[in-house]
Amino acid sequence: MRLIEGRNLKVYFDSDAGKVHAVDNVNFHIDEGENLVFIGETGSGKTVLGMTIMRLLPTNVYYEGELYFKDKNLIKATEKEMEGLRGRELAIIMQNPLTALNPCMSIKKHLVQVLQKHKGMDKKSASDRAAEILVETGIPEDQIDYYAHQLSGGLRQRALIALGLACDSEILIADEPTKGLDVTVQLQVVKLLRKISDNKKKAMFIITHDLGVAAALADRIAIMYCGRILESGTVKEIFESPFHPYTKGLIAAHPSRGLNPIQGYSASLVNLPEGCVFCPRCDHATAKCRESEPEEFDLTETHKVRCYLAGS
Amino acid sequence: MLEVNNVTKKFKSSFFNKKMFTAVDNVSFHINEGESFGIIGESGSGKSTIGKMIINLYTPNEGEIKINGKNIIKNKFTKTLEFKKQVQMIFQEPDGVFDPKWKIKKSMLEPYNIHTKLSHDEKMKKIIHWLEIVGLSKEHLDRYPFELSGGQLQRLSFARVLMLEPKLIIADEPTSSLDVSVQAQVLTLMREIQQRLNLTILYVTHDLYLARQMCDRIAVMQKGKFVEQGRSDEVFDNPKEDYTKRLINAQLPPDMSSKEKTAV
Ligand SMILES: Nc1ncnc2c1ncn2[C@@H]1O[C@H](COP(=O)(O)OP(=O)(O)OP(=O)(O)O)[C@@H](O)[C@H]1O
Ligand SMILES: Nc1ncnc2c1ncn2[C@@H]1O[C@H](COP(=O)(O)OP(=O)(O)OP(=O)(O)O)[C@@H](O)[C@H]1O
Ligand SMILES: [Mg+2]
Ligand SMILES: [Mg+2]
Repeated sequence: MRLIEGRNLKVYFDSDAGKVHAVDNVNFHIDEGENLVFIGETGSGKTVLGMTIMRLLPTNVYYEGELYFKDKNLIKATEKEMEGLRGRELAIIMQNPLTALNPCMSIKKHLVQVLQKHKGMDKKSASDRAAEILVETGIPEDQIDYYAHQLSGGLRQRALIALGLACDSEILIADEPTKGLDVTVQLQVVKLLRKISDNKKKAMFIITHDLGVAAALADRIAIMYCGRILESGTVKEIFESPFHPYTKGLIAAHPSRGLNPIQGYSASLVNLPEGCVFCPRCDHATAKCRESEPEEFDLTETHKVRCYLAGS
Repeated sequence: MLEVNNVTKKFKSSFFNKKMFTAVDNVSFHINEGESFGIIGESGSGKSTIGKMIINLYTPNEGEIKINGKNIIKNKFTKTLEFKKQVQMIFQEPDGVFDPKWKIKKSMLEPYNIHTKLSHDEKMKKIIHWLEIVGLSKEHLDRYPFELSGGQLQRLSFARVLMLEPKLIIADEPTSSLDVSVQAQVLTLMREIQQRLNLTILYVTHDLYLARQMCDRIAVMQKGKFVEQGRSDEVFDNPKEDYTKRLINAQLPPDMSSKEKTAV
């Protein structure tokens, strides 16, 4: 069954400098039992897309297009309807731990509140369950009553993961869940997330900059750049036959292969170039690329790319 | 340039509990001028605490820390602007660096207001110059922190430290929120600036690939102690300690083989 589907989704922000096109004409879907991983350029709209599903963006936002959770269009949902979904059916592991955690509340208290609110547990069982989840995500037992500022960066990150897992929701959005974790803990967290995704009723929307984590967790991968999905495909298609020049450049820039960045920086989302958004940095750009933006081409049934190289 | 000798830092476990918890346990190392030194290791093992002691945010319970031969512990010199300008830290979580109620412009001007007597126009010119170097632009200055992406904030906090041209930088996970291409750009830039200004850098990172690229020497930390220290290539090619071997084995390669590695 299809759990999430975005159709021609656009998310804009008003800003002093002009309209910020954070997500532009994005089509994607996630089925039951599936993990979709977003990788790509920093500032390309990954977090905004995740926060759109949660409808947790600030008030200077506006939307176009459709975003379905089952048969409900989340863009049209009222705040009250969203409240009913958040925590129960949609949960998120946020990107910024210091913003996500209340400095005046212990880590355990955060979980207790969530469990009481969304799972209807009484105080005692919520407290027991909270301790259990925190220890399961690898927080030492004598630190579960710590406040955010007392924890190391990696422990704070694990507290956020615990908070996301507490609700046991159908959809889990995980925004850089392994950031700041040492590689042995990262391995544990990846295994923990894979265990959850073995449950065929659930689905995950994962954002990461770590190509190893992406390969480990993904069924399918979407590559984002300047608010667009430039390429998407199965994890095998993306890692073994990447097509888009940006995807190829990104994979080649991994530090295990030396320091080989793609030249230049991405365009401003307020002032996008005509044509393909990647063409100012692309070695293969032709006049056509500079004139109009490529549509999506199908390389296989699952492998799609927005690049004229595929059309010719 | 930097000497850390037998430093120990303890924290009270909680307000009510008098029991002390040792976060950093008798650690010693040095970094030469112009060198890059890396600390890798377990989460919660005391890496950031070491950095915070070097910038004098925490005071060690025991041991000494010397910068250019001067002991900085309980030394009035560390309260001076000169010290604060020379020794700078790029913090692990950029969302803690920027005041959420201030526009970015105000946060970026602050270090120049404190440390320089430049005119407003000169300050703005320099700030925009640094923004462009890290791939951002003027338009980002009028935003509030919540209106920027994680990686944009991280690059701003990077620029905010580099623009003072310090002598010693503690870079605590400075690129953890960047995609690998922008990370490579920022690190290349860091190398150029290091050579130009003969900067000394202490990297703290969980990314072993990065540590190997960027650090001349590294130390591996576990439970408050350095378990192994040496030239980066030697430590990675020939790890001596079990813990180091475990770390190297737990790395996820950027290809399909990480799927098998994490199968449950
Ligand atoms: N409230 C807002 N007002 C204006 N612009 C915003 C707002 N929120 C986000 N943006 C902009 O939208 C773009 C997308 O941001 P987003 O946080 O989704 O990036 P990201 O892909 O998650 O990047 P990163 O990998 O760095 O976290 C960025 O350029 C950001 O500056
Ligand atoms: N202010 C504090 N009060 C009490 N305990 C603290 C405080 N600051 C740090 N600690 C504890 O000291 C230990 C070391 O913390 P530190 O932040 O140095 O770890 P780290 O090596 O940087 O870890 P990470 O890789 O997760 O960032 C942790 O167990 C942490 O919980
Ligand atoms: Mg993000
Ligand atoms: Mg730390």
